[in-house]
Amino acid sequence: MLDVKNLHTEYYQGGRVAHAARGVSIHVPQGQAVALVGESGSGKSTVAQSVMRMIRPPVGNLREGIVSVNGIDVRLCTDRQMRQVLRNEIGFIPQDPTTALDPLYTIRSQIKEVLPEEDKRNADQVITELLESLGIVNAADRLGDYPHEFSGGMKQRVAIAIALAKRPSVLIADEPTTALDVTTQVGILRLLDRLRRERNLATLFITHNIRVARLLCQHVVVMYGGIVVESGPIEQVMAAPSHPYTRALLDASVLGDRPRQKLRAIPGNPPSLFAMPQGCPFSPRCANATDQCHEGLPSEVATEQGTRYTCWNPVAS
Amino acid sequence: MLRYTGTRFLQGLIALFFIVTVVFFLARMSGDATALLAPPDATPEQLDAVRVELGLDRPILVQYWDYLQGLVTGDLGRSTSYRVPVSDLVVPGMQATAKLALVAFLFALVLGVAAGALAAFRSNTPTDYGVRLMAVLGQSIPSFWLGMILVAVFSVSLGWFPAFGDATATSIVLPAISLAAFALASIARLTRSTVLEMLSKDQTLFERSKGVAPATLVVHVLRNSSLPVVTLAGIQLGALFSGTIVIENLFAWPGVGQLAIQAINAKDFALIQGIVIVNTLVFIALLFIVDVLYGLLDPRVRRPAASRGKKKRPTTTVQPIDVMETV
Amino acid sequence: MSTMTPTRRAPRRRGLKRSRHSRKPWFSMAAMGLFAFCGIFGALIAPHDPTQNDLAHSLAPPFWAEGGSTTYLLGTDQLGRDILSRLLSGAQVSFLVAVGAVLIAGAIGLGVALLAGYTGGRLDAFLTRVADSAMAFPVLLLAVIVVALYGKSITIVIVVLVLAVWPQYARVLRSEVIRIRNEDYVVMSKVMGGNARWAIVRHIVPNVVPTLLVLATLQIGFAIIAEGSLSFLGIGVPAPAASWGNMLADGRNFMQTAWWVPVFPGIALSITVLSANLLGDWLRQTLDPATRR
Repeated sequence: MLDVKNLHTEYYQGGRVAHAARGVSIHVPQGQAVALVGESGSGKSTVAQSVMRMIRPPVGNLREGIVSVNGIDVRLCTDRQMRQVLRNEIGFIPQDPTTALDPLYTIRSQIKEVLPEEDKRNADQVITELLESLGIVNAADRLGDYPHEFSGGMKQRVAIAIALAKRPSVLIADEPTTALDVTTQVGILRLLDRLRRERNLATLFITHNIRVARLLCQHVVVMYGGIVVESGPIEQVMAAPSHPYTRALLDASVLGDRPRQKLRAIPGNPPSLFAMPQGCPFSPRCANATDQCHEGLPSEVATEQGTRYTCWNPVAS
Repeated sequence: MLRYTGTRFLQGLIALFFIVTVVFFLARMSGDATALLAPPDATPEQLDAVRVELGLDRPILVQYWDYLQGLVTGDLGRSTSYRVPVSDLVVPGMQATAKLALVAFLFALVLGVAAGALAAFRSNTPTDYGVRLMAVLGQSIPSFWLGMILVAVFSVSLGWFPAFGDATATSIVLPAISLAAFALASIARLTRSTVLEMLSKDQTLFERSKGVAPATLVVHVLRNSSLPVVTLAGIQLGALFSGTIVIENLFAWPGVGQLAIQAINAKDFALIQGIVIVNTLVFIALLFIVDVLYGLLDPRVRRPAASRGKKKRPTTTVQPIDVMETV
Repeated sequence: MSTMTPTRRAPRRRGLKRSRHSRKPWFSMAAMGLFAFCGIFGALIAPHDPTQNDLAHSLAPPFWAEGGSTTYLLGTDQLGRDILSRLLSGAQVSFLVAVGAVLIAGAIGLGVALLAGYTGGRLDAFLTRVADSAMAFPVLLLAVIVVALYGKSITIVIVVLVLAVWPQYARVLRSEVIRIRNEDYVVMSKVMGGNARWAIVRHIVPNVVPTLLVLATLQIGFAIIAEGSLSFLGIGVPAPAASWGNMLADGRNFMQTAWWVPVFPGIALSITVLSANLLGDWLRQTLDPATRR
């Protein structure tokens, strides 16, 4: 189980402080998948990095909040304890397996590094079974191969094997399909969905595409400018978005279902982390924005459908 | 791998042949060696006799062919100033030079990698600043000036090490340090920047996300950083072999460098030719070793992916590294 | 953008913008300015003839030391030649050699890089191969061959350095040329019917200038050391002309008895090279061209 409460994460750069996450809360129960959706710079990857404690001084810091992985608050862990958490609890799937796998090591040795002690005795067998369950054929013959000898999709399966070999309870996937061919993407998404069910994984799925998220997630958390703007069951949020940003995101990701339909982009650019607007971060781009929006953030509002949003002027839907 | 090594070896031989040919013809074109060897008041008959004795009266291609045949059997011709076979001078000289160059190289490599890696793992700490300062100084002080300072301090004032020659076991200390300083600084700089870059790569982050022990992480980072460092180390070793000329001169070290200067002053072309050829041979052998080492270290070179249609092998011996570090 | 990278990478800096990493190296700039000034006007400000022997005043110490006089501000060498004047004369030699070699090699390297990088194909493969072989060949060995064949002179020193240095320019600039050639705006200009010469003049050359500048600055230090080494060995600038290298060679036996003979040229050489290197490093960080990679 992954439980993030009121997380504040900062980056330091040249004496300036960037507030990449401002009071983010996410709850991922065992066996469920939560999508963390947002544009580049929204802070979604920061949350993932924070959970794994990859952000530490002098680069940045987890200033405030609780990040609980199966009841362990990673913010309070020593380096040694944190390695134990990473080793036993969290499986991480990188965005681009080509840059994430070590080119100089065979896949056997890269997977073996994370095997629990009891699996190390018959490591080859365990690894082969794992790889074959992930759809790599003739895995036994390929253990001695190097990453560059695999295709993109196969490399991602190797990376998934590394994430799963530790038998984690939490799985974090950081845009795991963006670096892959479209045809391979679907295969990886199906695989992740199956693994969540079979292994009862608490899955945090980071993506910029809310429609992709729908394929395997039950809940969604939409981030913008370091805050959670809307969250809730994915079907409800997609059917009736309350926050103008969620609305815009859905509109922008519509694949034209009619010919010559105009693609709808969101005007403007996401705010810089160093120059966050005083009020709602989306206010400079928001069609509904009023003076109130520019001045301060509202508190979270719960709807009857079970979704929650942070907005002064929610869209009527 | 075998084919790769074979190709490399063949390329080395071709390069050597090319150098030998160029040096031979340049030397022959630069003038008649006979006048230098005969007594100043020699008669035309005496000059002719010397010419016949040296075989310089024959067509140049015949001389060239003879020279090549000699090379294959290890005969580099006769030194005109020492009046002995060139190989009798160059072989012991090269042994002394190799000893100095290799000691300096080991010193530079071990200390350079250690200092560079330490600076990268402790970036922006006093350790890092110290290493960077020493590296910039090491790249800026000419070896002969450093050698003079070292002699003044450690030899003349403190009396710890001899100032010249190779009579005692500690004789090599000062020349080796003077010679190594530049290579040491370059290797430290490249190691630092490579490790630093490696630390911020996705690959390292992914490795950290595995929760492995710090030692494992360090091994991964260092192994990945070793590729450009190996290339630079090979180039630096070659530079050390020729850089000994200056140091041998300063420390009266009996290597080929000293021999080269004497040969130039005596216009002893046979000797110069011999020195250049032996040096080139050493240099090509070093590049070959670096190439093979590279193949051993990097599976992408050793086992190029079969599916990628055209096999992409590096066409050059010099791998992509920061070129500035090699000067 | 990779979402795994925790440090948000700053946008690529182009042009002379302020970088927080590096303060301006005032010391290096001043030292290089002084070097250039002495290199150009050294003969005009020298108090004595740098090659004039004066055995009556041989090994005179600098003016502040006991027995020194203001006639010879930095003392004299064993032949009674004024050290200050010789230093200034040596600066001219170093300046001429460094600037000459760096400019000529830069021009050759840029030419080869444009030809190889823009044309591509077999010509590119061939030129790259030649540059690699030439770069791998050690400078001093090259110098031994050239000097043995053609004798000693300042021109020969420059020729040797040009031969040694041009491949570095060619290699680095070639990859820059290829990178720029494939950038969208250059491709666009071709698609829209622009010709090759226009693309080279308008787009490629201006974009490699920062790289060229950084390389040149860093090569100056190398060229000065190389000239010093050759002169130290007696196969560089021939005596009696003063070069810092042969001043050090002359002074090598006086470290204890008359320290000023070797120490001043040693310091001049080290500080000049150090300044050139620091300036080059700073330029490299500030301009951030391909050399960083």
